[in-house]
Amino acid sequence: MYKYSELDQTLVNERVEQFRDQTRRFLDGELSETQYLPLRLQNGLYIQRFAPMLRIAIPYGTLSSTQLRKLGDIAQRYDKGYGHFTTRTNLQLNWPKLEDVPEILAELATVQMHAIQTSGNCIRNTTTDALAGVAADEIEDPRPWCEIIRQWSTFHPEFAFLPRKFKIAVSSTAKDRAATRVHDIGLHLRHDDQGQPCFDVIVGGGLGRTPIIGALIREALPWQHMLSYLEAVLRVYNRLGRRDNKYKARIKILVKETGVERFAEMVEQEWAHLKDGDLTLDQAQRDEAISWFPLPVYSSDIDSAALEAAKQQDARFALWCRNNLRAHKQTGYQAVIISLKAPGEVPGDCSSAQMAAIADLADQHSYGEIRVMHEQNLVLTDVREDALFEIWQRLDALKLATPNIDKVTDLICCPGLDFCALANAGSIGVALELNERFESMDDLHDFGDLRLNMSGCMNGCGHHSVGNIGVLGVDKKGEEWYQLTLGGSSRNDARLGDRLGAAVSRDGVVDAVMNILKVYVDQREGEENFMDTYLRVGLQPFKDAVYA
Amino acid sequence: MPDVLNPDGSISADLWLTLDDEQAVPANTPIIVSLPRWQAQRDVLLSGAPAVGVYLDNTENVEALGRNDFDGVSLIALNFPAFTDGRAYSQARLLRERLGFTGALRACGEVLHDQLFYMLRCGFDSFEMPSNLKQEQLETVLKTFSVAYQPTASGPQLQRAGSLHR
Repeated sequence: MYKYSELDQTLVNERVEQFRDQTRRFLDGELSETQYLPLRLQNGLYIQRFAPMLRIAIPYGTLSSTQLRKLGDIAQRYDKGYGHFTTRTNLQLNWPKLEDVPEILAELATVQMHAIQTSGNCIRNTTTDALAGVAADEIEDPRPWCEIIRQWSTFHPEFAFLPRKFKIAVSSTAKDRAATRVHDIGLHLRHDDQGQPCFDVIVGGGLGRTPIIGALIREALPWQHMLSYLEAVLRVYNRLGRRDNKYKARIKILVKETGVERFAEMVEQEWAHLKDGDLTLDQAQRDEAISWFPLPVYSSDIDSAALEAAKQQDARFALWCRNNLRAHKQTGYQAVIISLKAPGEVPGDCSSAQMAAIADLADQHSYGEIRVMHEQNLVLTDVREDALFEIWQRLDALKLATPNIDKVTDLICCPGLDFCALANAGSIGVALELNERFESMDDLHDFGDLRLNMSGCMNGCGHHSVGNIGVLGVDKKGEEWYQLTLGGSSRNDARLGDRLGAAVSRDGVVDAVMNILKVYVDQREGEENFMDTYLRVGLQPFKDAVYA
Repeated sequence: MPDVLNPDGSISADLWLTLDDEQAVPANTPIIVSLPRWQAQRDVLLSGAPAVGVYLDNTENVEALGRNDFDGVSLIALNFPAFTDGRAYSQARLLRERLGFTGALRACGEVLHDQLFYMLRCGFDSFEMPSNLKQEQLETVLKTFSVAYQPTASGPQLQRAGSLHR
């Protein structure tokens, strides 16, 4: 994975000192709350319902074992012994003390980490496929491009005070696993007719209050121009994005109000000036960026027969293999998804002990590297097939082997009313109750792939709009109610969920979801997954069942 | 007379007088006028004042202006109505990098200590005195960061690291 240059380290160290000074000035009363707010936000520090929340950047979801161990250690010493992995593949600490944050940042800097631009109206952490570099269906490794974007966007002086936050995702597989169509900018890395890397640029997607599927504004952008084109989009947005209304400030509203064609024209006009300028990438830079991500030296002496034998002997292991492994480029290797969605646990939460144990597993079995998925699970990317049984046993003992990846209990969920100052309703409680109910169902694993996403408010941090089943917490006269949507997706078939009907009460929401699943099971044809059944039969049968 | 902060951390008295469009040009004083007034009275202003500056609202479309539109202008004042409104950063870069403006570029409005680094990197080289800046912070305030990734029209004391370690 990428290792800091002297420049990176200097920048992060200087940032720590800057923030130490800013925090001291705030605590001494030199800086007002209003003046301190955007400064702490650009260091990932929110003041939440009960305590500050610190969001630590994990660039494109890639972590070394040393970093994960440090995160666990920090969570142990400065927080309550756990952290929460987010849909932006970052890690949140929910209970640090404000006065400790500069020291936490200093400790992070010792393992090449920081919290820069994890919040605030700036360019946020770039995300990509968690299986980058190993996925069997990958066109080209997106990580070198993500790292180039990370450097370009870090402390970009022109774009530190945008109208609103800005999120970029890169996908480089035919099957989009990075939700690029619901990002401010989605880049699809592919090869052009000459076999050269190029990008399809999608702009103006997003979730939140006004969910929109992004629009393609440029096809086959040559890789040399990736940064200059991004700069052109950002400049148009910085100049013209709305600043009069926070809820209309995202680029998706600008694109919508301007019209996709006109917006694309404005970007092209701006880009005409920037093209071939200082930001143009050359082959030497591309080669260097590729060299930052050396491929591991794989073995060829793998006993794949042992895996089959173990599956035969242990049905629980076999089920885990079926649901939690992903195909690897290299014969004899698999990517192992570590579920952070165990029954009774908050989705995305990971204890310090678990982090330490996963770091050890990564050292022993996956070249010391861990990935964070935007679905809030972790991945060991390079595991020998003959080590899988041992890994499963160890994960199982740590409650990290729930065989539910891409299944209904692998739900995406925001912290909700339990932590967040913005939320209207609890999401974690509902998630836990749903999990309990699913657990008692025998046919859970026959459901096929089904994404259930839940957000505690319209800001949509739980990505409810693109859940196959979406659950949105709403406030009705001080009571928690839940709006259900069906048929959303953030993949290639990206679409926003359709509203099922009136919101349901806290008492009724779990039953409503169970009824929806029952309709699916009754109506599906053969191996059909939820999404296909829904698109075929439509909203009505589900409506009838929920509002009967 | 208010102070302005220079990129080297020194402070100087602000000699510039900002005029309303109706205000007469005083003798022997450098003046700052609106863009429409500059465009309409260019020659008169240049002959009447020792130096002429122009202030631009942050909604002004700098791109639509030409390279020669600021010939004779010694200073351009850009406005930050709130420090969270970052439009003037783009204007500054466009003025420096596209229109080739080489005069003074002054940041006005809510100019704070903690934004000076970004301003310098975008090409500003004169700052209305930041309201939250203390005397003892002058030494370090413009040197918070010694490195940067992006190639921009940056202030003179910053190392130009360029992108990608070049």
